[in-house]
Amino acid sequence: MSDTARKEIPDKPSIVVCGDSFAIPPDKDLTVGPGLVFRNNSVTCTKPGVIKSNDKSVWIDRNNRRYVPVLEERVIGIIIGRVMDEYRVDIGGAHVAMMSSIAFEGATQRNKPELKPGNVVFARVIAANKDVEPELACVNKKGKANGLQVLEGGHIIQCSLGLSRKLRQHKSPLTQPLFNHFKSFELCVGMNGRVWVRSDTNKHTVAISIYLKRCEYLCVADAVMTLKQTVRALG
Amino acid sequence: MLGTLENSIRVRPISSELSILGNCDGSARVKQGNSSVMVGIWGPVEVKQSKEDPEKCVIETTVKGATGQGSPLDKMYEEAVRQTCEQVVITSAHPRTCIQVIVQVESEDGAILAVMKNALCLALMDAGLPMRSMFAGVSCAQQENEELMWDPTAEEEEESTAQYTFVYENSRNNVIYVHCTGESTVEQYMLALQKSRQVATEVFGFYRESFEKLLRKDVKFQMLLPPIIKGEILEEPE
Repeated sequence: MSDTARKEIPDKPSIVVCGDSFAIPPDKDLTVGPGLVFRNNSVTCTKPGVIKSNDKSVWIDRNNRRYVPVLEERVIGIIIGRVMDEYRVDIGGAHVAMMSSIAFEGATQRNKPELKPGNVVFARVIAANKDVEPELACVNKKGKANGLQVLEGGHIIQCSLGLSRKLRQHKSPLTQPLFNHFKSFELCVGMNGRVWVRSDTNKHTVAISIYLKRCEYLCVADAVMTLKQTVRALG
Repeated sequence: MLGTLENSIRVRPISSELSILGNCDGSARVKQGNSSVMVGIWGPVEVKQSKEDPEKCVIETTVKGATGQGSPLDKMYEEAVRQTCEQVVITSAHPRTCIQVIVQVESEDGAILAVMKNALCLALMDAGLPMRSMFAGVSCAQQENEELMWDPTAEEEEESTAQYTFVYENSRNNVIYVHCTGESTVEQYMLALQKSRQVATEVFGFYRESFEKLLRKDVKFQMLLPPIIKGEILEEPE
């Protein structure tokens, strides 16, 4: 084993690359998360990123562009067709997801929403396995909608998965500035890198979309500054 | 960069750019001297049913030369790129999918296969595909007086009697790909194999530096997050 295998997992978030390995004490009970492989009492990184850990788990945070479905994640999907009683939904992954046409709150075989190609849904991934197609539903485990719905109107922008994770953070520094500039708007962030925006006027929707797209490359302070400029320019 | 090598080993300066193509899932450009290669990667994406493999993902490679005209050499490079990808990428992680790799040679001035492999490694890592380890390509040419010359230019390659390209991986320091042309003895080959490892170690350090620059922003963002106060986050009522 090389020298790197004897290193311990760093306490602070730090940058790692593929092939780095960290020793895990044999008596420690850890959950090994995405981007890591457990082998010979040590974990080896399989992708470059920022390694993070807490008492219970260790994982690598990495901004990807291609979505790989994960169970229980909330995603924004676009209906692309219908096969019998199931909708085919594009969620940006390698495979098209399937969604039952009665997977909505209160829907029955007789009374169910009719969706057409191009409709947008905010749904939950209820089956995600690398060997089968992913499956979606617009209800939680108890059969309630709980925010999952068909999204009408608005505008969708595509961003990286890392940005959508940042936006979904509790009290994210990226979404807080929007409350200062806009009275009312709706924002729906899917884990698959799609963000749906709707507001009172098209101008506001455009301003928010531009701001979110800039967040991808600018630091928070710069992005907020450009938000002010955009709002002023659009009036 | 590349400062801790033996005095006898000289390599050209290496530079990289990451995530340069907007439509790709991962992309990188690597320049070594006047040789420059750009790699774009899409994946995992849907695959044609005829090519689908239920056990692992399929890797499709395309190599385009600097002149734009296809040549048999490009086909050889395509095979070389595909072989390295299949050894390093954990293909069982995404079965029934496809990874498309496009290698564009921008300018060619020696050691092109090594530059290609370096750009490929950075692009694969940029795409965030699961990999067993990193890999680095090292080219070296043997001159008529039996001296070895690392990272040769096109002119130096032409004057040499033999050329080697080795690809090393960083988890166990093994060689995963070798390409040789010309005449040489076993001793000379072994010497080149041993000494090139030093260059590979330097290239791995360079990869790490490149990613540290790319990911610094994400580490900074972590500092901006408000501290989580217990009980503040409302669990989604199920």
